[in-house]
Amino acid sequence: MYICVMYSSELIKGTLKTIVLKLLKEEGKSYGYEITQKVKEMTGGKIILTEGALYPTLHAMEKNGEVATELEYIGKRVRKYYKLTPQGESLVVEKLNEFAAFLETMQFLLDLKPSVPNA
Amino acid sequence: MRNLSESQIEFILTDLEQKGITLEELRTNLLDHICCLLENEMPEEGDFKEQYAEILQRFYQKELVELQIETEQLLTFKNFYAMKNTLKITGILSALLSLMGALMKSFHLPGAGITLVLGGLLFSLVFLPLLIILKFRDEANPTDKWVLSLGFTIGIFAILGIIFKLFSWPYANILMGGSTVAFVFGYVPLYFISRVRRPEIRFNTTVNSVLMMACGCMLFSLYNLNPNKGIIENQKASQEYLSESIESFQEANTQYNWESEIPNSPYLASAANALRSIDNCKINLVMALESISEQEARSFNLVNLSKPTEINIVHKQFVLNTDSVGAQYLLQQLVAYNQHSSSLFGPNSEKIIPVDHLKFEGIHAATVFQQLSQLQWHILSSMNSYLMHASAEMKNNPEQKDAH
Repeated sequence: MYICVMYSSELIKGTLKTIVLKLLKEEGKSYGYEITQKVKEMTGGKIILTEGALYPTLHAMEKNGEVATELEYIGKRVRKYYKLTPQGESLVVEKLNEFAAFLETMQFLLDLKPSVPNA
Repeated sequence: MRNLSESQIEFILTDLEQKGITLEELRTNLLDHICCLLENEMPEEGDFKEQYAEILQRFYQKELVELQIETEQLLTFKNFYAMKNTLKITGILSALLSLMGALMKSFHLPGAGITLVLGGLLFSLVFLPLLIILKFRDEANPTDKWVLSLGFTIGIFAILGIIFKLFSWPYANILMGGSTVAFVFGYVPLYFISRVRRPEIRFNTTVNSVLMMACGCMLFSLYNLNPNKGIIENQKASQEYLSESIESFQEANTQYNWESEIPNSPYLASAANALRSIDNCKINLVMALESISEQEARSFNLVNLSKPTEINIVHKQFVLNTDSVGAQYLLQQLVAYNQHSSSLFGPNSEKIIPVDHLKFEGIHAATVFQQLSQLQWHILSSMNSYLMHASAEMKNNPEQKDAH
């Protein structure tokens, strides 16, 4: 469900949660639109998150207790800010380590780098 | 940057709801997102509805409701891994418990029943339902999804039926029989038809169907196993012998003419009461079992019982009956008879009926009649030996007549 300007959706499928977690860790708190804009900005438009993928993930993370929410009322609109819970904080570390190990393995597997990884 | 009016916001909210976004939290999130997009990415002078329609297309592939479906799926299956783990643990546990229960039952060890029931309940109420949920999520083929889930559901009812049977709870036979019939005549043909056309699984499907059909039919033949014909014939022969013995004792005892010869014997009076009570119980039961009148019941030959294995009517009409034709009243009469026997012949006399060992609950009609006839036989034979003794004494010593 990504719109990926450069990469195929299969390639980065499964990393949405990691991206959102990392972004929230850096930003402190953020809302849906802001998250999509940040990712677009940080990747120079190479990865654009679609709303269809982002919101189901955010809702599931909220229910799992990985993010907490704060509401801001703008007239009739309600803006929902997401921020990490302690559980989410530890999940960021876990997810980043997991992804780093995966990258290293892939680099070795696909022979993208001469050194042999430890992972 | 444009500023959206309240009516435009209202329009978006209503439209989102109409397009199937019924989860309020998701709707407010989407509203804010759409507003941000309209405010920041769309030219101020454009038509609001056209711009809104353009933006909305970015949210879905076919229709907007898929966003809500995906959210719901993620929320529902957030415990997917926990469910898989529970499935593994309950699977192993129920297999172990059932195995242990079966072994314990074979060796008549205490706790076998509860172990078997725990294993069965875990299997039917946790393992199989979880399996159905996971099948629904994982199985790509919709036909397989439904057919396999039907099989598991039948399995749930079958196991519950077996547990009900173990505890002699009502509807056990309906549960067991119904699920066996549904399995053999519903599930197995469905399984076969839905899979046999696929060449890659044709062989496995055929083998599995044959195996399931064979096991199902075996189970079906085991279901509703009544005592075999030999046992029923033996029971009839025994009943016939008892009835004849009872008749000959009754005749023999009548010849002593004890009611006028020994009118004041409390032992004989209590024996007569007990015999009358047994007779009344038998007549009442025959009337209920055969749906016949009292007169017909009196001359009914117990060998011709149409429902010798009936339990429910016996339970209702005899075991639970508190009237003078019920088990409770009969036991009172037997206890009174025992008291008089004990005072006359001593507490260890063979004439005492072992009332404590009498059991009428959960017993087939034919066996209850046999027990009642044996009681009659016991009392009549005791009476007979007493009368023989008393009449001999009276012949030798006529003055002792009143002493009895």
